[in-house]
Amino acid sequence: MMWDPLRLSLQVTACATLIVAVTGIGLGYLLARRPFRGRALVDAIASAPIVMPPTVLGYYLLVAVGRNSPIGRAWEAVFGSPLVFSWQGAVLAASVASFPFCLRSARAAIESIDRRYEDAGRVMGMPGWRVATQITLPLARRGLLAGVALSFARALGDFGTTVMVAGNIPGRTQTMPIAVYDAVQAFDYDRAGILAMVLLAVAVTVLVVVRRLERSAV
Amino acid sequence: MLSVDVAHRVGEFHLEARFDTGSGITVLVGPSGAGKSLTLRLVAGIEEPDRGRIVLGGETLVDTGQGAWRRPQDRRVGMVFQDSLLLPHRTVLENVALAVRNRSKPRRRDEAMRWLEEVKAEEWADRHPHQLSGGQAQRVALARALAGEPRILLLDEPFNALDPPVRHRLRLLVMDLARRRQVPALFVTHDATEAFLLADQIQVIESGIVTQSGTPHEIRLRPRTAYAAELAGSNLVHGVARDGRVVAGRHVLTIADQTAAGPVLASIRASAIAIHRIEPQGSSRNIWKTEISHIEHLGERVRLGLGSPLPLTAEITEEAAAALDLQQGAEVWISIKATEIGIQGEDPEAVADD
Repeated sequence: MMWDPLRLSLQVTACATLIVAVTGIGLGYLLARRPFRGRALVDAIASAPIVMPPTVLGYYLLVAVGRNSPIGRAWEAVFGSPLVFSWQGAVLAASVASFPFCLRSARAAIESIDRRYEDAGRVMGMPGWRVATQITLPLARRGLLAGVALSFARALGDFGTTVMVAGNIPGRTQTMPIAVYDAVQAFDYDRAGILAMVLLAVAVTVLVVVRRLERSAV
Repeated sequence: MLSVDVAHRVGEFHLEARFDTGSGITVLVGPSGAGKSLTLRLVAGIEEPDRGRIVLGGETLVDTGQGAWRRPQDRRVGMVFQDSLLLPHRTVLENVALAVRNRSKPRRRDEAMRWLEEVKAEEWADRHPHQLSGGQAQRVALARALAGEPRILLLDEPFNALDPPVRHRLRLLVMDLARRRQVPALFVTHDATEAFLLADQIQVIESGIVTQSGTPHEIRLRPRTAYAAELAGSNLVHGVARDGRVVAGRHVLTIADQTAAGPVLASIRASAIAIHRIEPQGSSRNIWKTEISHIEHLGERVRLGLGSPLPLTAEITEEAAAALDLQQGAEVWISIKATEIGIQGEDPEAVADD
């Protein structure tokens, strides 16, 4: 019972970080290196979760994937149970909330790469996708890892968005930040203190890692 | 071999490069900002020209009129940049192996090793680029450029950042490779020594336009612009020729060519101007008194700026300068043999279009 929130948080955060790493780096690459129409709009929408109140973001997600929405119905038709108020819903919430951190870091890291490395690669005969995977991304790897670490921390700590989309179901959707809130509500300060300490330790560790990565990237 | 006829605009800068290269090494020489690197980037396909066409060995790389475009990865050219641009996260061998085309993976490494041996860099195969000196890195970059078996080698001031002895060894290596492997090369530089040493053909480019093409010998003998003259260690004098004389402003030069007539460019090599403390006796037809306006010590040689009546640059050995005890402002006599003055017709059309 005590460790359910930790297990659930790790599960949700791992899934969310994986999704965000792939999509954030992918979109970051497109924004940095493949100019397309509507780039500014995509950038603005993708970055919106940073400035939106988490509960507001959660509200819109709930509307978008609720049981009566097309996405929610499609999900239910395929998987047999609703997306909202499930751990998968928590993954969705954590992903969307943490996505812009990875995206912005990835974009900045890729934009800072000396383009002549990529030019040299193309002249050497490498097709575009090989230049991206063998030259651009490896050269940007420190910035990319820093972005993923930031997203991991943001996903692990998400409260408002997750609670709106996935609710507060102990053992099913009650992640650590929600459990801290729950424990305080129940005047169980010992439990809240332990959970808070674990979250704090993870946060500090991530910060140290990110600082290291960013400093040696220069 | 390579035929370039392109127009390209970058901001305020206009490039209108038109030239052809043969086999061997063609040196594209010009001052900084003349459009040399841009021209190379257009040939490599890193930039797309606004207008024009580039043909390499009969294959059209780009032709804006026809909408033809070959992507850089399909052009089979090898390029060496000012800095080596080796991938820092890969070993030397892996860097070269990435450039090998049309081979299975294990064969690629063998092939890469062969190219490293070719440039005598095989010892460093397992090192990472940050463990190499600048000269070693450019050697590896050269191996990488050759590993794709390019139809032409493009070199963009590759040895500028290196110490003189290393630079010289690498120049000789490029000459040796180009001849032995039969790869034509287009070599960009702003260094006169490098240009004359390497070139089979020289293209002089200034402000985006090719102002003169020719063999090093032709450029040395008959530079067409002030820049080309400086490059060739020569002086260029505009004048009007008649009856074995060239009238240049207030000064008259005696020349060997009796038939030259009309506006001409007279070129006088800096080393063909003799300097004397007293009025010389001898066969020279051009003797006059002037003043030394400045002195530049270039190691073994000394460059002298000469004042009125005809401002010229002369070059003498350090020993000669010491023996003459030359000072700035000193009065000297100079002599130039009539046969040392090169004469060519002044034809502005030819200068712009050549």
